[in-house]
Amino acid sequence: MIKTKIWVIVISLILTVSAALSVIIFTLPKKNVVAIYSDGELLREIDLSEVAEPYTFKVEHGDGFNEILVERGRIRVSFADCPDRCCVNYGWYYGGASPVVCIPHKLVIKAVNSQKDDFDVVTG
Amino acid sequence: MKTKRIALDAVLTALALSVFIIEQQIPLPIPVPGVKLGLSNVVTLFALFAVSPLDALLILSLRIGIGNVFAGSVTGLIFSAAGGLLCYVTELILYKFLTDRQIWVCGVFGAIAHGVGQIFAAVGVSATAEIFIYLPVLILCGIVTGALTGSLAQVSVIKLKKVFPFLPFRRKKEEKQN
Amino acid sequence: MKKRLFPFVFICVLFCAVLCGCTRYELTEFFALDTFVTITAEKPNGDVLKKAEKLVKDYEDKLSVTKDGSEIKRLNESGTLTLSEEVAALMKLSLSACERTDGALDITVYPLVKAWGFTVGEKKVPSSEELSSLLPLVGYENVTVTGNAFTLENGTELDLGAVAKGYITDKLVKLFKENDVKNALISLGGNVYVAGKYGGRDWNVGIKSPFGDGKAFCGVKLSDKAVVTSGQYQRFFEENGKVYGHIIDPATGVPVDNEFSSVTVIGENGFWCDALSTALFVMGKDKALEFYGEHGDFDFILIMKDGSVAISEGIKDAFSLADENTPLTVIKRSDKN
Repeated sequence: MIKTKIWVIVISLILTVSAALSVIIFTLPKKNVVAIYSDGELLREIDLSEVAEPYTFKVEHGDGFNEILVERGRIRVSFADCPDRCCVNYGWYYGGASPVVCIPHKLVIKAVNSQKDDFDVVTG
Repeated sequence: MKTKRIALDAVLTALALSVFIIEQQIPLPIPVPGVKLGLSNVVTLFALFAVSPLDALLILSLRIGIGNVFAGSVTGLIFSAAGGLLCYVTELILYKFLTDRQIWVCGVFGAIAHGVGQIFAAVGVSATAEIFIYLPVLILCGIVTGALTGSLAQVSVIKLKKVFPFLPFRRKKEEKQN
Repeated sequence: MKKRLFPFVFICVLFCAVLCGCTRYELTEFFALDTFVTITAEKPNGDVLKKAEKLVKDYEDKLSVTKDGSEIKRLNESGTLTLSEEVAALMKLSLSACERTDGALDITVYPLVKAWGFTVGEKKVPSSEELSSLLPLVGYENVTVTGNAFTLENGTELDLGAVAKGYITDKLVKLFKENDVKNALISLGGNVYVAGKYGGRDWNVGIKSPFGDGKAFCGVKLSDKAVVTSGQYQRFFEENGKVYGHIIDPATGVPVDNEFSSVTVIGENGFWCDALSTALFVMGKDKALEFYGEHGDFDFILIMKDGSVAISEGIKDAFSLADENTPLTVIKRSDKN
């Protein structure tokens, strides 16, 4: 027969610990991984939540190229020599359901674990 | 005696099922998957402490099986089973150490176990270990909801044993009240 | 003993029954129609997704204005052609759409589109002489039909880009139905159709923000609907400080410049949603709402340049804004009649 008082102490301890852990967990930044494909081939994956300093890199395709700018939490095509430049006009990509695409250069930037939006698909 | 017991179990099962289904319509403001009030645990606890562990298991199994068929989802069944059964086992073990006035404690640990079971099921089904990160939150919610449902069960057990002595309640050896 | 056993046997049987509801989603992505195609289907049997990809690419071969051998390109080059049953049907449907929208949608606007440099060539502002010489070419009444034979008068040229994607999503939905696929998500470069449900709930469709911040501006929960957005925030160019978009007003010859930033049309038919999204965008707010009053068999989301949004009452309950503070107007059809 275990006294009620003991149970109360045990439960209070568990309560405090789990409450503390919960708070810590909810203030942590979540992973946000995007993948960059050129011509169907995976070039690289980047975890946007772990980007320290902004940086750029080039993706070449045939005679053309796209310049990609990566910052913490977001990524975009900063420059491209394709005729329409839709990829540049897209603006910043945060990892949502609507991927960044450069059609002439067959470039795709999309989310790997797409939990950033609540959406299944985005029109536009 | 047997007929009365079957009838009692049937009523409790129906109750557990209704509560289970209605509870799914209640939205909770917590953005973590698997957080629920666990009201059907009240019935499980009641059956455990007032009738018998075997009857409780029976009612629980029926609630999990039929309830999820009505809800129409297989993944729901897996989660429900994982959470519900771990909850039952935990409550069964504690049953040996608790008096009727400590049923709320049983509720707390049962609810914690339910959450833990569901997380393990979720990790197993989706093969992503990241889901474990929700464990502290589920434990926290489990303590709160478990205390609530456990208290409800406790009140029911104590009162009903007094009011309906002719019903086939099993009696534990009466312990000195704490 | 029997009475105890029965419930457990019952449960086992039910469990097996429920297990048969097991589900999986398959995804296919590829480049076609000058855009990026994403198709997700639930429980696709065998090669349904391959058939879907082939369907899309076959239509691209037939309808492209740039691909050699495409029926539309051949019609544009020779001025007269007997089209295949399939393409002729689409042509007739498109012409009726042009009529229904009073020319706001016009499939013969291609000469103007070319003059502005969208599709091929350098983007530039055409001179007013060039525009006035091209305007007479444009007009769907320049297309004459006899059976499946089409003739283009006055040197007009066709581009079905404003309706092709919507039409193809309808064909894909039909393909899925024939192959027992009830739940699927089709996105032809943002031209969307959501069939059935996703895990028992409606699909959550976001509308891209036309204000260049890469997030969704708002969303709608839908099932069995086509969703098409028209806007100029992706394909445009700047010259002398002015922005010119790719949607040319067939009446004036210049890119559309009105209150709209983007127009989204939601309905059961992909072709009509595609056609209407372009047409309403060209019409501007007043005419678009008038059109809705007369023909209201669709829903819409109009995002204005000033950041406010107007929606039709039909989607009121399923609609949500990313920013709660966005000014929102709900339009009732009866107001406009």
